[in-house]
Amino acid sequence: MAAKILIVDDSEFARKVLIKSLNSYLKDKEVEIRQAGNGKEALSTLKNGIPDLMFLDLTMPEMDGYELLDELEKQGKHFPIIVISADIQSEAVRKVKDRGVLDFIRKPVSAENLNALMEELKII
Amino acid sequence: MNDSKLPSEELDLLRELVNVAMGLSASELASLFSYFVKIKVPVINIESVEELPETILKNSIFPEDEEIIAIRQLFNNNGIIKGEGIILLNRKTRESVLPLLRLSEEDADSEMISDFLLELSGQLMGSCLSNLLKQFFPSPTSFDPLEIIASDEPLRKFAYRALETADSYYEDILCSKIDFVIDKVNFQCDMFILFDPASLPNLRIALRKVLEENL
Repeated sequence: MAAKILIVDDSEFARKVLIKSLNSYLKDKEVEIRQAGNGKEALSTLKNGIPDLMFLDLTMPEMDGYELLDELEKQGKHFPIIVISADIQSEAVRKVKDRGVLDFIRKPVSAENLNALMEELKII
Repeated sequence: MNDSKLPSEELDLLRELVNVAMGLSASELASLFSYFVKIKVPVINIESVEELPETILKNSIFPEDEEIIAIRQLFNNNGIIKGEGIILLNRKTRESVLPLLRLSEEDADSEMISDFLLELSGQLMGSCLSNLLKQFFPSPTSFDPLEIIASDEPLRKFAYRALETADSYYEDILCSKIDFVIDKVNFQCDMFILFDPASLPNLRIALRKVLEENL
């Protein structure tokens, strides 16, 4: 069965770059990638099932990354989440890690860093 | 300029690059003051210069009758990209900087606060614009001295006065609006970036290059 990845970012460019960076790690792994442009869209996508891994941007319109993390906690939905953000303030990192986030990658994403993290986490 | 002159793919990329620049600048600001800096999704508008006042009024975090302070700085990246950054602050922002300076009201005089606000505005504009433009161009961005262009002026009046200045120079405006908020000390400011019309074709070439290299 294909592993499921959900990418939540308001920028289509950022989502495409992430998918391209992931491809070199995923190679022939069977993976289904879904995308959402904000927290609300992500919640709607999550009604169809929980992903094996979610990549989450923090600064988004309508429902941002922090609000989505709070909502997931309220709904009792727990699964591996990696935050990808240019906002690398120590309090931002602490805030998302307090909400159970697995790791934090700095934007712009480098395929090398992403692949190293994926190798380390071995979720997929 | 209408949206057809900047396709949605390029607009999305520009918004993302401004977003990355804001995140880096917020991190720099936070490490300077040891406070968490809240950032919002940047607003990017492309329109004719006549729409500048309404763009400012619609997008500012301040109400239109609020008396604001406006600080302007011109920037130039090797003549390829030029424009101006405008920071808007209000009276409350002025009061909120005391904890940032770690000063009590008795210890701070108004000149000291004004100097600090100028310094802070320069820091924000310098950091944000440099972090934005270095994603396109390797050469460093140069900045003119800061200039206070409004002091305790209602936002509406300032917005229309800004049009008078811009009207003689700009035809189309690519305007990006950024908010920085520090909740704990009630600090908030707007930053508007206006790009020189001659820079827009260069900006588009740079955006296309980033798209081609990354996708």
